[in-house]
Amino acid sequence: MMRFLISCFILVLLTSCSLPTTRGLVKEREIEQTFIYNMYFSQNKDFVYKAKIKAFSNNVGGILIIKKIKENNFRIVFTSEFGNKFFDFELNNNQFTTHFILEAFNRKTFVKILQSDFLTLIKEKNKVLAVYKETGKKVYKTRLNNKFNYFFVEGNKNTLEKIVHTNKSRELTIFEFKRDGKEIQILHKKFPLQIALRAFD
Amino acid sequence: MNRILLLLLFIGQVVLGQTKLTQEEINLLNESVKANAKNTKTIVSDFVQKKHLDFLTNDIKTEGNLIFKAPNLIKWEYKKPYSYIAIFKENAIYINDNGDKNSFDLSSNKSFKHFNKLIVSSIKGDLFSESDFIINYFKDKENYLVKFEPKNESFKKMIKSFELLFDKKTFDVVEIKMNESNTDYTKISFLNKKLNQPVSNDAFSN
Repeated sequence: MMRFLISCFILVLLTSCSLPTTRGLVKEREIEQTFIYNMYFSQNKDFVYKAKIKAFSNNVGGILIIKKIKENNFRIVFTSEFGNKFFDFELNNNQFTTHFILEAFNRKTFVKILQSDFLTLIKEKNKVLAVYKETGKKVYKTRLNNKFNYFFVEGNKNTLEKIVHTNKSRELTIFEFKRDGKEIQILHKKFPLQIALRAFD
Repeated sequence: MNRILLLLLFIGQVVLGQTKLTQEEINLLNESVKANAKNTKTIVSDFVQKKHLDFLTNDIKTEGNLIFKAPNLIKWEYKKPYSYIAIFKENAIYINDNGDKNSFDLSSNKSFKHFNKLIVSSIKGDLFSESDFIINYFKDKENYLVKFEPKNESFKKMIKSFELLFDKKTFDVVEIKMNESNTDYTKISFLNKKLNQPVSNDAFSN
């Protein structure tokens, strides 16, 4: 009886420590695909979104512009509805340059979170570390710096539905893609921060 | 050498279709614009806004309408491609972002305070003081163009310079251009502008 209780306790402990993202999924023995691609921002066209950012107790609306300039080089600009820039970042081979940031936005932690979000959102080619199976879906585990990104791909259409950004044991941020990337929700679990994007039609 | 430089500058201005105003013309423009602003009690106008970023293929176009009531009530409503209302009232901005309501106190933020003053004065057509801006005056066939460069450092970080385009006949502002850098700007053009029509204060409730 005692042994059974200890086994149960260990099982509960192990389950609660494991990452919820892949809990209950079957890990594939072999990795058939070396890379998983996020194609939403892969074209050299203007991606323009009406954006709403809810950060802590502040709500900020504006226009988010993402443009691939060339291979591994993107520009990310957030402006107010009146057109004045809040920030202007350039992403070059996973490194950010800040071309402009308004004083009110220039908070080290906030900028770090935003840039990490944009890197997950935009990075096209991601090396696969493991593959998990779910009914009608495949989940690809990739690494991003010292964290992980899990790409949820719908089986039939091969569309990227979700990216879950995690550390070893916790989900940190969820990126949801709808209408072929025309609607994007970024939901942080560690901070009260949400970003909603809706493409200009 | 200086003569060549002057000649080049002159050619440049003629090519662009703009010539500098004489002091007499500047005085006339200032007086006319001031008189116009004083007599303007309300403005109702459509607008088209174009955001130009040098790396973009196309400018970002948004449209809507504007209501102004003297001395300083403004409702700025974007209708395409999204719904967004900003009401400037009593040192605050009241926002309705497609149903999400919010407000900002302008007095706590110098940059936004400057921006608000710029918006209000630009719509009215008020010209700005030379103590705050370096001002240059130009004209072409149909319009007067006044270019302002802010002297205030915090404002300069937001806007490098801005331009007001006045109709030569009516002295009305027909276009505002805000230059963030040498390449990036926002241009707002006013269309179907109606002056001094009755406007209720209810138009400015959020």
